[in-house]
Amino acid sequence: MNGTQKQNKALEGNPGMYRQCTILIVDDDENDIFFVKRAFTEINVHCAFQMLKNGQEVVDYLSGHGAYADRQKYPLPIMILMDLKMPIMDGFEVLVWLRARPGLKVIPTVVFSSSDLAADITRAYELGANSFMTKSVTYDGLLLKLQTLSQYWLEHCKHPNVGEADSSNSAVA
Amino acid sequence: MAGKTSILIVEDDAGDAYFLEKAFERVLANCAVHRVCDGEEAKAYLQGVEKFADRRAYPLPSVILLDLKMPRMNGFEFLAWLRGEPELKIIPTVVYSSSENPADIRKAYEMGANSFLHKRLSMNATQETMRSFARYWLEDCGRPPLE
Repeated sequence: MNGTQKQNKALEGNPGMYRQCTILIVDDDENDIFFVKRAFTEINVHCAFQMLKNGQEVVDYLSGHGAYADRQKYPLPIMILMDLKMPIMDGFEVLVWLRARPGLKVIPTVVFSSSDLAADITRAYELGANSFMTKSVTYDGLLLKLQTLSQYWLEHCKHPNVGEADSSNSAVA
Repeated sequence: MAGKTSILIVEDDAGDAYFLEKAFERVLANCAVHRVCDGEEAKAYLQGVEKFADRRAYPLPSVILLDLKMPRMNGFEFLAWLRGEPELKIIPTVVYSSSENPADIRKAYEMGANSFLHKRLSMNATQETMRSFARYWLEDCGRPPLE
């Protein structure tokens, strides 16, 4: 059983308990990261958060490059909350990379961007985003959005096992 | 959010569908809820053929709620078809299944399900899950424009 499978076990047993889970927050704007973190703390989400500043860092983290090889310290996440417009490698490029990785492509990835352009929303879904949320301009708005998001994903959704497991023994014919 | 929202339920079990429709009646205002019985019928609905030709009566859904185990065309087969359709593949599709088999959960995500909800057994629990589902997908998420 790998780390993420253990996390999923924890989620199955106690819908309200996700203490051992890791969520990746990817954003180049330090203010946005600060408020997202504060909001998650305020709404009592007890996950570990890993903050990354651009797409290249996501690739390095998920691939276990360099310092990220230590999966105790940098576990595979149960989900990714990611901005679109970032330097070096943007959110669209991460989606393309991620959805081509057999062991990682199932990680639920929610785009969290200030854009509300139909073209951005469509492209994100086309490239395999699990959903798209537009950032709020106010802190109260942000709080409400992240509350909806964490309730939906952490209390009601089933998450896939990430890593080496495969789906070949599905019971549905 | 522009436009009226609608949900397409793909569910062969009449009892499960009844719980869902009741739950949506209670938690949603101003949202059309349509139900079809299997993947084949869902396909006909989205293509707008046969009895589904009238898009005003059968609008493209804002989000699809999809059972896995169904006759004729199951949820996985439907996902495989949907994600290959250029015009339709961006419709968010949430699997709603009683399966707790990790292989089913993983396969659903692999095949492009936007998320996986565990089917609830009671009316109250169904309502609680659907309230969260509706708030998330219909109020707080950006939806791709269709047509």
